[in-house]
Amino acid sequence: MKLSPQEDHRREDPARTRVTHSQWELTPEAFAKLLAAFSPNQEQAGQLYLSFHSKLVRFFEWKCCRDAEHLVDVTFNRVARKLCEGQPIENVCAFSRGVAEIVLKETWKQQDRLAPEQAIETIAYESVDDDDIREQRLKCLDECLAKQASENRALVLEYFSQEAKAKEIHDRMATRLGISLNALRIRVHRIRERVEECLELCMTAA
Amino acid sequence: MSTQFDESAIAVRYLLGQLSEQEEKTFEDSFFADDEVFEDLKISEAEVIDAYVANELTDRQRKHLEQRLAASLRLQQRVAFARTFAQSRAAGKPVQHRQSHDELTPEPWWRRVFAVPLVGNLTPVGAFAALLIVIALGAVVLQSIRLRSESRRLEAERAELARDRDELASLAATERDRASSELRAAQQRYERAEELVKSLQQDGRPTPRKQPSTFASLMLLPGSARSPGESNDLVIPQGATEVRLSLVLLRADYRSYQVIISGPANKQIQRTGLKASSRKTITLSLPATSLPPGQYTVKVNGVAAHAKLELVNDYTFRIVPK
Repeated sequence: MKLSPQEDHRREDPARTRVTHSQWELTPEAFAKLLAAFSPNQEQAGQLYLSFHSKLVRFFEWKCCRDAEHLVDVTFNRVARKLCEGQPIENVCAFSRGVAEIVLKETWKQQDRLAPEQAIETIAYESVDDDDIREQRLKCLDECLAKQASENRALVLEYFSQEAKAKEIHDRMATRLGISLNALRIRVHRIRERVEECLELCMTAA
Repeated sequence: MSTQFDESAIAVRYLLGQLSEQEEKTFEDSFFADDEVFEDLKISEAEVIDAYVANELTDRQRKHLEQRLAASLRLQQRVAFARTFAQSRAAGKPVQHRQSHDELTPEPWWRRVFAVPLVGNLTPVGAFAALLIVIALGAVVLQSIRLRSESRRLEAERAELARDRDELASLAATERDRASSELRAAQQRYERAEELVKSLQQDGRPTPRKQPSTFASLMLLPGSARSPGESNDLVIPQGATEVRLSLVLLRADYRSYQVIISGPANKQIQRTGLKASSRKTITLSLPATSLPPGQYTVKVNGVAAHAKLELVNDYTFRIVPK
């Protein structure tokens, strides 16, 4: 999408830069160019894009930015725009990383970052005192655990069984399975991630 | 502090805001560049959230985290999951629900069929399987008993057959002795008659025309066909007009018998409708002239239903010229 001359002029003004960039829409062709910048192989490009997207989301979240997903879109839009304008980009990941830092600074300047005393008030997750929701969550958790293969379910439950003796239990499990502690940790958390995703879907459906 | 996560790990320190600006940037560069570092960050995120839910963070760490939670729905959802999971574990629900998990989870059919958790807690399928095993074992035991009884019965039959054979052998011996003594007696009578004739001749009285009637007898035992010997040789004395054959049978199961005697020059003599005596013996009388010297075989056939002939025994004997 081409910018009008007035919009082009506004590009010179840093204060309006954010507005100008946000007006640029990512077209299918531009998105295709962005993907191609990750890899000439379409499938690999998609995987790399999604992986990098996930990393950017966490980057913005842990920098205390609201609406991290939107900021990631802004970042990718800018990168895609540069590609469409013909700017040669050797390493799209490193370039995107740099753009993300700029977007972060812009966001902080806009004071989207909450003051600590506001944080507690705005934590929006449902109260655990709500019995119905708590029961529904437990029910969804049971269903999601039941969907896992029995050995995976047993692995997760055993791993998190006793916090006080966690190290002892983990050592024993790793020895029994013949894997390192870190490999066990990774395996268990991958299963936990699947259960988490399932539970959120279940709660949405409920 | 919980031992679920390593506080010294760089990812944890990053998440809890304990790195310097430069350290943060370096760590961010590493997780952007390396997927393994990023996975470690995601796992550390879960571990930090678990520690938060368990109230194991310091005030400063907790505030730092809550700032991030406030800005991220995704992190809030992770906290909600961690709380639910902790509640579930605290209530022992994962253990209790394990049975309902089994109900919900589509277990492979072979696990469902053969699921027998504990002796005191047999499932219906397990009880049925146990019953099948008991029935199978019972069938094996019964079969074993039946075979043993069959074996004993066969043993008894074999013993009876042996006794029959012994009995027949002794019977044959008795018959042989009796025949020999009869023959001796007949010969003695013949000699006395001859003497009488001679004495009468000396007295000038006419010689009586009455001819003494003599017979030669032979007793044949079963199996003699396979072991011919001198005991089966018969010398027909001069003057003997009759040959009596006593055929000893192993079993006398038929009402009537047929006897076929085959001799030299394909000569055959057949008798039918013969009966066995109580001593299981068939006796037949043949004219001495019908048995010229030579080797003979005798077949005894039992006459069964519908006049069907069944071989009972066979014998051999030899007529020896005097």
